[in-house]
Amino acid sequence: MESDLIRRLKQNDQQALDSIYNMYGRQLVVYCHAYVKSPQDIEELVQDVFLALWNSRGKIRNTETLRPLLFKSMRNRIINFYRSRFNTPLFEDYININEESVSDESTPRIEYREFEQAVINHIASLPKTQRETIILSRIEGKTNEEIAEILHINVQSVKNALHIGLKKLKEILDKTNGISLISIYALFDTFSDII
Amino acid sequence: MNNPIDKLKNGNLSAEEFEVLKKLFNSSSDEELAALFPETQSDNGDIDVDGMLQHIKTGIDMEIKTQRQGERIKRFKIIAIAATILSVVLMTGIAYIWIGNKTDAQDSIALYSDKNGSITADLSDGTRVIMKTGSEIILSDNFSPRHRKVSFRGEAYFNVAKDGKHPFTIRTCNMEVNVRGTSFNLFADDNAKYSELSLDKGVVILTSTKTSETITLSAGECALLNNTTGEISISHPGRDSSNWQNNELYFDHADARYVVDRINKTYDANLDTLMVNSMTEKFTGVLPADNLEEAMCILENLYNIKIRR
Repeated sequence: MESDLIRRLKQNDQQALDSIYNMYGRQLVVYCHAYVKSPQDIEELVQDVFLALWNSRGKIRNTETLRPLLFKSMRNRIINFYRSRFNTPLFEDYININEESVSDESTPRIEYREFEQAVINHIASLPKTQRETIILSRIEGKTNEEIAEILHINVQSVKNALHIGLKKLKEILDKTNGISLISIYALFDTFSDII
Repeated sequence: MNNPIDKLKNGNLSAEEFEVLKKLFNSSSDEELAALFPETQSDNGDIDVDGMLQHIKTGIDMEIKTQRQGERIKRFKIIAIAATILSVVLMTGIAYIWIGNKTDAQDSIALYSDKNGSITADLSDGTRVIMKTGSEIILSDNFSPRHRKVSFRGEAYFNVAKDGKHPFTIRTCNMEVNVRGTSFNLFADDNAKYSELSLDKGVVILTSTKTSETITLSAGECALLNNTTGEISISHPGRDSSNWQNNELYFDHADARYVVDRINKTYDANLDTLMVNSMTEKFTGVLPADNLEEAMCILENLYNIKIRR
């Protein structure tokens, strides 16, 4: 009986959590998958739902079923996931590239995660400062001033590193499969807005 | 298809529509956005749900276990770059851990973050390294509990797991550190004037790569290595002389050379170490860490010398 599980959960019985996980884990993964593609991201989000349930077990009010609570928790985490992704500069670049490539039939659509990984793989060959400024700026969304403070360099150096780094990145991406030339120029132009 | 989320999923969202959506998300509460995320039957053909459920369960169990142990594992963005570098992006900066070509390395290093913005790496031999932002540790390609060799740049506190048969070796820009089971703080950056090793426990053998000089440090001692000349000076067991958080430097029977090196490091100064030859007495006392003039006056009076300004 689910109400028994809830009672035991509130009494700090971790096995009750296990049973609840067996009851709802699959459904939550399926729900999450409707909106989040990457398995890594899904795993993290679902894990957070159950950890939050465990950490706030004392405050559970519905003593009959956990379904509404768990699904609401899942949904809110998905929303936050989207929100933080929307506010990541690199994601914006990704949207712009996808739009550009609509006219180009030969460009396969790639997932954002793949795109991010491609950028990151190519960043690896850049010198350290350029690499770090690109990560901090486009993936972490830090301002140039914040980057200057984190890396202990001045703001002008940050701008220079970004400018050179992104230019080199463009050259490297030119040779990549799956991202058309038009998209790359679009990417570069978007990046250069922040320089 | 009116739901913008559907458009986003199918890649049909234009840049303009994205801007609108982004504004909406940033200005709405989770409740207000709920309608965009109905429960729906999705196609699960392309994911391994069972595998994922196992991973998730393991993660939950681990997290609850460490919560019980009073530590916190904070998940943070681990960017696998070209399968050879784990770059960990923290709230305050970046630390790098190079793991060679091991594909299973992500499992063999456990990473933790703490309130101070340091990252803790537990290596496969049981050694724990607490690194400050901007530090870099490179494990040798064949790093294992039997072959413990790393390169390091930056600042970190090392808790090296005891293994008398297999020494732990750290190479920095200017020195090689050999230990068997110790705890110490290491600062090594070739952009700085000095590298510093402060030993808490155990024994450390330190070799200056420039001069080939080898010294042995005992617990409580601190070594300063001049990155330009490669010369090493040591403090003697006593209070921690690098406690400059109180704006004071403590010395206990310290060699004059060490005193001068410490002042040079603290103030980023260039006091002449040649004059040290005339300072034969050991120094026990306190020097200010925030007033170079005063520190120099104290030394001048004590040793009856004149320091060029």
